[in-house]
Amino acid sequence: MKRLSLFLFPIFLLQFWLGTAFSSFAFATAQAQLPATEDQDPVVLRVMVHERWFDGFRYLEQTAQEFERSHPGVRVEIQSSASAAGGQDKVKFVLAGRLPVDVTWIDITEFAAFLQEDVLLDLQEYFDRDPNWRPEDYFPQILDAIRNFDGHLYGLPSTFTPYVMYVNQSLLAQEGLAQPADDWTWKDLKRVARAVTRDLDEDGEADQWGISITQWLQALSPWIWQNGGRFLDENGRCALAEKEAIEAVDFLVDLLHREKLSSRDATFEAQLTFGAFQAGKTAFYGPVGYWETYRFKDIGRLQWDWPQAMGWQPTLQKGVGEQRKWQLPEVEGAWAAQSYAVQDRQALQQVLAARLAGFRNGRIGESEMMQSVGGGKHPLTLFRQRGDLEAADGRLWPDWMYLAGLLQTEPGWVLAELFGPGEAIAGLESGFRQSLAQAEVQGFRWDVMPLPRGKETATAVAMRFYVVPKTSRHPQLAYEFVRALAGDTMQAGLARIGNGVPGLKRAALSRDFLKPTVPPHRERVFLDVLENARFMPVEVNWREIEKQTKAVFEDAIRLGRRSAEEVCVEAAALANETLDRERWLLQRPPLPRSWFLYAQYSPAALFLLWFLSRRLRSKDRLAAREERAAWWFLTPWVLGFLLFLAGPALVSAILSFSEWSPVRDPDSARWLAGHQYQRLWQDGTFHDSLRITAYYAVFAVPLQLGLALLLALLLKPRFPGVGAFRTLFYLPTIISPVILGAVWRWLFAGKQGLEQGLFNQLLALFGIAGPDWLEDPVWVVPAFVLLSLWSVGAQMLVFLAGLQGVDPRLYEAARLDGAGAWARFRNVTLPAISPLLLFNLIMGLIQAFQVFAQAYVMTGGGPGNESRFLVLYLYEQGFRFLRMGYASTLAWVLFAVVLLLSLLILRSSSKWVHYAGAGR
Amino acid sequence: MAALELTALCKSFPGGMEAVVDVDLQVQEGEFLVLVGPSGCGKSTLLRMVAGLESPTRGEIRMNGQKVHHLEPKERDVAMVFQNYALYPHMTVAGNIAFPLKMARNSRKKIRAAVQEAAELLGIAELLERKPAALSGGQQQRVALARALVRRPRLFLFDEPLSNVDAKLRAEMRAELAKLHRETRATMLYVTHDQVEAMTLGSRIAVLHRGRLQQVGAPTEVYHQPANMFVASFLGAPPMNFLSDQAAAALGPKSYRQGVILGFRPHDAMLGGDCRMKVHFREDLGHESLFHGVFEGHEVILALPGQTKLPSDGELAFHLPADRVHAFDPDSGIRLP
Repeated sequence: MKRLSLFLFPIFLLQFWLGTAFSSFAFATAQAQLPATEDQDPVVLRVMVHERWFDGFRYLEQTAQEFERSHPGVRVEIQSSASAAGGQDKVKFVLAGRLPVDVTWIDITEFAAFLQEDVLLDLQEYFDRDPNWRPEDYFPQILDAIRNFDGHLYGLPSTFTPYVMYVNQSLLAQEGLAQPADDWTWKDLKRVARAVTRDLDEDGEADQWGISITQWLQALSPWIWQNGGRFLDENGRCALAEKEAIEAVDFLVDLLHREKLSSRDATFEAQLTFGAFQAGKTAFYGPVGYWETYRFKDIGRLQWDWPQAMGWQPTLQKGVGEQRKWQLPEVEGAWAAQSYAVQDRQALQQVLAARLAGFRNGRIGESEMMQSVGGGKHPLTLFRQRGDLEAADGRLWPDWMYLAGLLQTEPGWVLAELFGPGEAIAGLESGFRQSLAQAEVQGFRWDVMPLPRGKETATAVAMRFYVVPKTSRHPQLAYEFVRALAGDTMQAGLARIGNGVPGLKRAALSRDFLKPTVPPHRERVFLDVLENARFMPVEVNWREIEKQTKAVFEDAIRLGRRSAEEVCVEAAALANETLDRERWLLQRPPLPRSWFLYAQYSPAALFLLWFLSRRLRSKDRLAAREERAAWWFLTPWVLGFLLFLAGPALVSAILSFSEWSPVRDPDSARWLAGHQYQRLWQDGTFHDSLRITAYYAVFAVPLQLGLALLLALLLKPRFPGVGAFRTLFYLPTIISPVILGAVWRWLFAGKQGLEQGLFNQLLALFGIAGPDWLEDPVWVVPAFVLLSLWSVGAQMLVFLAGLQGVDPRLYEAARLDGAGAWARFRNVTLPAISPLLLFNLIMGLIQAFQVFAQAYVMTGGGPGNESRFLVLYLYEQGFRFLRMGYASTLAWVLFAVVLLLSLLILRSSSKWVHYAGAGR
Repeated sequence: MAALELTALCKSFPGGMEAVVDVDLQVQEGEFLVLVGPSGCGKSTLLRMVAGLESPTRGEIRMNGQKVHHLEPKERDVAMVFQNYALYPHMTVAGNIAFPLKMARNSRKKIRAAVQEAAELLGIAELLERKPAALSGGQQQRVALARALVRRPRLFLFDEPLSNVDAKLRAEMRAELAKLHRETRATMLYVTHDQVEAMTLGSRIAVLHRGRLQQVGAPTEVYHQPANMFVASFLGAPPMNFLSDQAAAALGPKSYRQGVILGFRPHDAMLGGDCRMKVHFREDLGHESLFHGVFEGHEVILALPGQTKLPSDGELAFHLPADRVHAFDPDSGIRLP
């Protein structure tokens, strides 16, 4: 017992660490105030943005190079934040860690929070001083969204996108329906949706739908606005319970669940996977932003006739990112096919040959050539590298396939880049377009159109914009780089790669963005609807309200198990609670910074006192010398423990009675006394997360133990290949949970994803219709339990080691004593490995209560709150909503729960755990 | 009908190791047979085959005339005491002793009575509630014995049960085992490498060497009429002295066949006589002294009474009774009549 307790102690500490590290580390670093000096040489400007990393990087780099050229002595260092929601977390980590970042980007929904947390530099004075600043270069609605209440501008847009509707023109044509006009209404939508929705395979469920309705809050907002609803009333109270909002939500519930005119796959989490719209199964998809064009724009080519005529094998690679690629079997075939597509082989050859000749004769410089094609892995660059220019005589083009590939995705742009604007190009391009149009008639034509109108016309806007954190050491340079990022080079690049609508007007109006030859053909729609665009309320912690309402709305919209009115009323109540709390927080007394300091250093101080008083007592010289040596050896660990574990743990204990944003100074913490703990009683999300975490643990822990023991028993005997089996079963343990989650999301895919995952395919073999694991509130936790069973290798290994250590004589004695296999297991094996059983039980329990990465990757906590595990909720509070106090409260509750359970188990263990060599 | 009958029993392990070769052996009802031999001679393997923990490669095992090859250990009605006792560490002494009865689904009452009886027989009645780890080696040994005893099996198997206890306790336990055998009259097959145990415990001794049975007989028989040079040298301490036939003349008038190897036990030498040994050193054990020296060109040891004085010239005179000189065939090592 004693031995195990000693062993478990560090484990408890680890558990503890998890909860406290988040908050305390941020706190510890927060104390390191970095001086804002500009005397470094050379000046390094740190930029953390993302911009579709692989495609966008060359533009970022180009912008940086131009900036460095015009600002001698400055070096621009570009780091990636991640994309999507995770990217916003990363920016917060960086700000919380007080890492020196000069330029970063944030989402418009975070703007209010960042404003209140006072971490952004007010750039108004920089704009005022800048003689070249012309606000009319940008869309006014967009700029206005980046201003604070005083009208001060805090940054410049990267790209934005109004929400629009995607339409599958081929499907409409196939059903004999005309595409509705741009001023269509909800009624029109319903009418067309009814006409399209069908049960093609007659299994009683629709498999062709009118629409794929997107389901996150921002996508929901246009419906509410169009029906005359609003998020906040004039008093700043949440107005979601108003009749207009309820009606709007009910309209969606009607489409999804009563009339079943919509597929249910368009959740926020499912955006990156293969959806019904891509499969040509729905007529409309939306409301959604420009970003979807990026994955949709290759759809139509699947059915072009010329690749098939050339004998190409189209390959379909599905998964994250949804890529479709042509495999070009041989170069000449590619050339021939491309010529066919362009329909003017000779003209192309001539122009290209002339261009290349110019390059050869040195009339066009190398850098100009590079620049003209944007650098990177361009065919012409490759020509040059391989010295194959001589071979470029039109018969055989070794790297033609690269150009061909590029032409496929961005034909207009490539042609323009290669040949410059001119009459010859216009001819070529029209030829190309002709063949494109021809092909699309037989395939999948799609486009975008405005959202249908309700009582009003409205749409939502998503946007990222560049800002300068207050931690910037070079604010003037940072401002200038923000200008560069929102300037011509970068914005033209963003327009090309299709991140969204460039904030710079002339980039948005250029062919870079409008891309006349590539679907969607009506990019202008994004610009046209801008006048009706609205932004979500500028409220502190809108993210938290978004999360809360999303979870509640899902009950109605995603799951269809509650009425629109119920969820609207509850969402409004929750939102008001958060709004009230955030306002109330501001009135709370500040928490003296000294408290944190005391907490951080008191364990070390107390230890020092104890240590000094203790030293006085030692007498024996030899013993004293040995003790001194021992302390020297222990010093690094003792220091590490006191300063980085005990101190931060105490800090987090204090934080749990207060509220503090990790991106702010400790000064800004507010004292809340016991409110955080009282809040636990009313916090439905906390109850949900505690419930599902316990539910998960109750099943995952025993099943893991059982399976691990079973595997260990099976793999204990030596037989040929046993080593390989042991390795195979252990292997999943060393795989990162993030990767596990990503892979298992495919395995669990259910019908909503249109393609059944491996599990459901297997179940189908036995005639069982598998559930939609990760979408079904009943099956989502069992899915996580299943996932956990895949990683029992570590526990198996522990058992295996234990089994090897059992005295074989005991088994023989038992056999002679008349014990059968079960009796031997029960009376010899189990008692012998009972200490390991205890160990694995407690470790398993701790792990079960710490499930995070899998849920973060696979479900994001949904549907509803059905997979919002405790640590995931803790993380959201701490870093997504910047409420480190409440996160600490949750961490301490988690710690208490795990400690209590572990103690109960330890206490009971004297009855069932047997240690070899223990007398009584 | 013999309680245990082994016929042409062989066991070879993968890799060609032949642990037991053609062993024929009979153990009579109520007999205490000790299987003795150096480490690795195959005696434990033999025992394990009898127990049913190993299966023979060839040959037969019969108990009371019945072939038992197909029987599980528990069906053979044998009990075994292991070298390391193999007590169930998580059970109390009572639980350990009761375990075989529990497995045989005896009534609780019957089990309690049997456990009490066995514990009293072995003098461990007051230890019943303890765990094995709280017991001394000797006490653990008694528990292991009680666990074997409580079932009243047809055959007891002992696998070097005393090699883990210290010398004093070993002597005590030997006496205890002998007493136990007297009282229970059970058939016992006892494996040891210790010749003292073999000599003192066995009704008969079976000497095993390299998997082959060398000799079976009563202890004195095996000691005084060893079947071959191995048995002669294995039993007895110090071991038998061996001489070439050239020394025959010096030993006495009796003549031997050309080329035989002669042997005599150190304890058979008597002071005085015609034999002369050049002494190199002596070991005084109190009750006797061991003289190491050279006799007729051979290193020999003589065991003489404790107070024996060594003449000043360092030469010891001794003689051997004629019937105490053994002759062995030089090739086969077999004792010649």
